[in-house]
Amino acid sequence: MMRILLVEDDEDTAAYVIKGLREVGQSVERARDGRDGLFRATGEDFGLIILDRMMPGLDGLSLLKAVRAAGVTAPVLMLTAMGAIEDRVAGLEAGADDYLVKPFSFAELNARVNALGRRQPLREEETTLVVADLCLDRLRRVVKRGDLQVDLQPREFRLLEELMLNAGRIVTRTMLLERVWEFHFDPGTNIVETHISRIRAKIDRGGDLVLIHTVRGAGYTIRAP
Amino acid sequence: MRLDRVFASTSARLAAIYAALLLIAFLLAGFAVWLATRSAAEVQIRERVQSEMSALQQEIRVEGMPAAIAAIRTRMQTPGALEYRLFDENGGTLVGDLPVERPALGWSFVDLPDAETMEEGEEDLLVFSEATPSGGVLAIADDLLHAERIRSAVLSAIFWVGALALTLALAAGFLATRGALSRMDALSSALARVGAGDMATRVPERAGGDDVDAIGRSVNQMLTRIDLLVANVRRVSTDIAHDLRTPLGHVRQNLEAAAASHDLSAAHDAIAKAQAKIEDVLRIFAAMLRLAEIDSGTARSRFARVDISAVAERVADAYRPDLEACGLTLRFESDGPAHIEGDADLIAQALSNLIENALRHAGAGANVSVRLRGTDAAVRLEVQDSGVGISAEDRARAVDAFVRLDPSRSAAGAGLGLSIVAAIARLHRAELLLEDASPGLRAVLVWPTHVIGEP
Repeated sequence: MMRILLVEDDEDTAAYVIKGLREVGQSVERARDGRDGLFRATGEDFGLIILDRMMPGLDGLSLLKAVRAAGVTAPVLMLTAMGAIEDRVAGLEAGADDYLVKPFSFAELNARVNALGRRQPLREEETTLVVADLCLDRLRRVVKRGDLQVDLQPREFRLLEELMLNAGRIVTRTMLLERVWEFHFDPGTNIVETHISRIRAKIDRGGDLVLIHTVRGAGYTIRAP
Repeated sequence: MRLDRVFASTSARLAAIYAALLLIAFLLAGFAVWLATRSAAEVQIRERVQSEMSALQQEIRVEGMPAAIAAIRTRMQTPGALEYRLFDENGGTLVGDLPVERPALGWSFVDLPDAETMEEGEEDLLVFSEATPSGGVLAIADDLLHAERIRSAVLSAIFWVGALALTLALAAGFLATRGALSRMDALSSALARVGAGDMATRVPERAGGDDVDAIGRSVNQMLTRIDLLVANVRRVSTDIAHDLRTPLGHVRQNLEAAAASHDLSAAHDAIAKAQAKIEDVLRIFAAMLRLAEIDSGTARSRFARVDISAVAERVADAYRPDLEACGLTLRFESDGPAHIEGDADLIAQALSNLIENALRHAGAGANVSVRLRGTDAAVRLEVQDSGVGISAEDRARAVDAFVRLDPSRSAAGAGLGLSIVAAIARLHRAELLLEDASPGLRAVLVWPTHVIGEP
């Protein structure tokens, strides 16, 4: 369980997020405006801050800058309005760790909350990622399933790496598009699906032990059975 | 046409200014002529008087005083003669009737009282006096009247010519103003009709090439453009309504089915279908907002140096498996790095949209090639397919928002893909060209060399 601060002025969005996150076992507290949010974020210890970009009074971006200036290092997920590329860039520059465009599905939010919240600093620095008998060497850029070496294209390698960095957690299609291809738009085709099925064909070719799983309506996950 | 309107118009004001200038010019010219005439006449008189003086002085010196007196008498009898008066050393008159009392030596003007009114007027006589050898004074004078006559003749000529010119100028100004006003009236009444909603109205055009014609033509071009935009907005509204009604209708059906269902898994299925349709609707909205956002131009503030070749390769690599899974091939060719000032994300999106179009419309078995060509004149990013292509007429409207060349509108997508590409091109001061690749379509983003580097 993680203590999450939600700074959101809109009642409906707040209720939706709070209900969803509590159902998956998180502890959520809400600040109704930027001023309250700043007070809580700098005065208490949270595992994650979810921040609405647009709020009356102190807006999300100014709040984020103030929070970071105060030395708060908790990961921040910024919620931005649809059709606002500027907000994403400005948010990341101001110190947000991830962003999500409204309206979002709860599955998407949950995946990002998990990715941010339980991000183990060590994992990012590990040079070898292991899931069951699948091993990915980040330095030598070699992938092995058991004793067999698997040949992957550069993007396939990045995709597998991203999945393995989040082993056991769901990674959404949008997250993969952003992180593997740097696509901050919806390509409307099956780029992710096609690449996943190619990787599956190369990794799970024995078929005896399936590692990459599709989570319906949410995304993909890699985990040992 | 009412007179006050004529006088209130710009051209009437111009005509009045021209007439006033004309008048001033005539007055100045008249004054100059008057001065010149006066001095020329005076010079003539002075010369005549002076030569007469030296002739008579000669007479006095050579022939003696009595001979000179006789000569003066003779001259006085000649018509049109000068006027004379010879004084002796005591101031007594020897000969002559010049009505002056022993004047000062040299030149002087004499004012004669008018014969009838006895009033003093202008100078009438120009008198020249010189001492004689015997100690007297000889005065010779000429009447200034005939110089005056020349001057008044000249003045009246100037007056009449000036008056005529002024009248003509005013008449011409009035006529010109009336002509211009009627054309301006046509212009403003046409615009008033447009303002009242009649978009088909056009300003009457003449073949001429003056400024009013030019305004008329510009207004007509503007009206045609506005007409087109209004029609486009109307069409887009209808298309949006149509595109949203279908998925929203499905959402409703599925939710109704879910609500009525007693079977939980069937209800879940229906809700999942409704969710998928809602995703479609949101995708359309996202594309519309994206289009508006790109067109707002705010993205220009974060333009940076972008290697289009690297972006193109990344996007082409991303799509290759997708195209191959659908039975197409994708080839990437590049002349090497090509740097521009721009937004890498948006260029990637533009190229994605072009590749997706090829994927959707070229059909299985088609070859798609993404090429980056750099020449001296331009950088060209091309996406060419070997599909059936589209007709020249359709190419022209393909970039309009919500246009889908497939009349059944059954293909996926909101018909905003090419509009977004065109908007991204505009943002980058590049151009989107749709060319016939015979067979197939070639969509090209062209950066003319001179715009590269301009933010």
